[in-house]
Amino acid sequence: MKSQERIPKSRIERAAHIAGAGVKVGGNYIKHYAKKMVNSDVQREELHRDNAGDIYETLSKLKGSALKVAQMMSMDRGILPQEYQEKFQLSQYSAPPLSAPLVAQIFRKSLGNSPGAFFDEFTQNAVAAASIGQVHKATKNSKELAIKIQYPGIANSIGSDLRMVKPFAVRLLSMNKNDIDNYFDEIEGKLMEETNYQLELQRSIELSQACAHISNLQFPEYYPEWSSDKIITMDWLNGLHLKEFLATKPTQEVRNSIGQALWDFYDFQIHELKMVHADPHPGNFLFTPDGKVNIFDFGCVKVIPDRFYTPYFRLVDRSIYNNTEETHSIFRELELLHEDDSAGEIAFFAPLFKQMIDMLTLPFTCETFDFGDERYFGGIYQFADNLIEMPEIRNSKKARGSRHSLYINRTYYGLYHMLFDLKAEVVTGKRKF
Amino acid sequence: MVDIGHLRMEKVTILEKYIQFQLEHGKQPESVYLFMKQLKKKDADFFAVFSSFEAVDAFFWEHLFHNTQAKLEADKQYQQFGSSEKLSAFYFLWTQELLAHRSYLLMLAKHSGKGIMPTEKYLQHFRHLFLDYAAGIVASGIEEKQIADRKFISDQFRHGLWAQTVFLLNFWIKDTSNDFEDTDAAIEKTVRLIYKLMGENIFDEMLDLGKFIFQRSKKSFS
Repeated sequence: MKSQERIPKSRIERAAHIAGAGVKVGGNYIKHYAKKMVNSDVQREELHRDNAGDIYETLSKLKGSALKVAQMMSMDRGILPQEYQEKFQLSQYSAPPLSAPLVAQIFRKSLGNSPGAFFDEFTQNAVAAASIGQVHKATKNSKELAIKIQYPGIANSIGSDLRMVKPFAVRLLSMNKNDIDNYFDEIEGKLMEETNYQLELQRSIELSQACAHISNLQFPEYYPEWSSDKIITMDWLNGLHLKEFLATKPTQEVRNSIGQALWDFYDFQIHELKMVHADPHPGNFLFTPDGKVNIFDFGCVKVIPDRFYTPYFRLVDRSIYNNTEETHSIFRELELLHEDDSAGEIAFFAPLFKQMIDMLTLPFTCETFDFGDERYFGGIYQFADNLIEMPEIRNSKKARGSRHSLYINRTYYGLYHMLFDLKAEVVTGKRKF
Repeated sequence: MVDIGHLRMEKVTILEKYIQFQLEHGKQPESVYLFMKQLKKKDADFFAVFSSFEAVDAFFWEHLFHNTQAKLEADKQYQQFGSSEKLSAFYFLWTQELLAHRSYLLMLAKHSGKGIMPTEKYLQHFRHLFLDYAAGIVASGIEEKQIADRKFISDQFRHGLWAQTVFLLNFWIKDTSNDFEDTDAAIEKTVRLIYKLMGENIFDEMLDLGKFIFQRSKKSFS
């Protein structure tokens, strides 16, 4: 495990990093205008790439919330080019480790005794990183356990991190402040929830029980007696992360079995439970050679309100587009369109959204869908890239899309991405909308 | 034969009453006589274990140090730790000990106005105990090659650790974070820094260069 040298923990240190990006971004604009004076053909795209690089570089030095925000922004708005998005995903694997005495201290503070008092064996060093903590391995009565320990002070730093990232978001997304606030509110709420290990434990137990009937899924057992607001103890799960798993060249059959399990897992949560494991990045899953998925991280769960769910999934029904009036009214419910939009804006955005939704919901409309279809994903990425280049989109001051869509889109984005990597063929059409 | 355990218990009992008195009255008792009278005891009981209130003040810190050491010795993991981890473990447990007396410590810091200064008279006994302990930590650090063995300077390292201790004490006093998480972070960071400073680093290169130039320059004049 490659780890960063240290987390910039204090607010001032973080501010210094962020300010670093601010200076550089400013510098890029100067470069941009300087070039423009000499050569008017200078691509705004080039500026965009320079900025993305500097922002990536700066934010990747931060752990925790700033990183998450960067990820969310980059995914949802296509702000960062694909290459950086992938780098962000990788960076979740690395973490600056806590020293063994500090781990013992966290145990004493939250469970009243050091790890040695609870377990027969306990690894002194972390064996893996979690998004806001690290994982140790322990044994008790020859049972292997995974123990997730949260970095101290994470909850305190979220608010100040977000406040520092906000000015960038305003500038990068060129949105008005109210809309940004609305999104940030959603993200901050979710991040705060993620630091609440008591809530995570409760949801882990609930959701894993509710999904236990889905074939080829495996969940660990959780141990509340060895868990606290900073610690979660569960069974140790074996398996490989997606990249390593794919390197073993699993058969199409195994990949299909895994893809189906993932699809069913999300389908059931979204449509039956109306709450969903909203963090489908590859680090949260382990795959086994016999085609099973181990799921163990319920830190980020999005509860889907009916007022969002109903219009969102009505759009899957293609026949709705015959009725422009109704389509637009659904777009308005989802805040894709606004009451004060001009006729021109509606004429520009409505067909774009229709096209986007067409593409993204395509798997829902088929009986089986081949997620290995490169043309399909190529089309999505192409569409997203085109979107970035449209001045109407870049200069639009209004946010388009409800705050709930942030995490739902992210969930589908993550799920599709994994299924694409798996090249899985999945039965998707069981559900009728 | 003097029963040390019993003697310590006597001392602790008086210490607790003494702290309680100060917290309730905001100042030291007028005299040992009045203090003991209020406890419905004879002042001879006090003088059997302490010579003065100042001795009690000093014993408070010894008591915290003693408790920390006892917990460290009972910890199997601690025995396996390297030098820097031992020091961290000491600070973590020590700050836990401080917690039981936070109100009293806040009062001490408030009285002095600027926090608890390393020169406070009541800290000096603790200082000696800590320096002995720190000498052991430094020695094992040198043995494990975590700490560079520098002539004359290595002997001073423990004084650096003492400065760190007083810094952490005052940091903790001012800490308002949840569960004193910031103090935990401060311990991690200061220990990491101080081991970087004590380990092989740029100073060794500077020293080496300095020695070299000094020797050459002597040569040229001889």
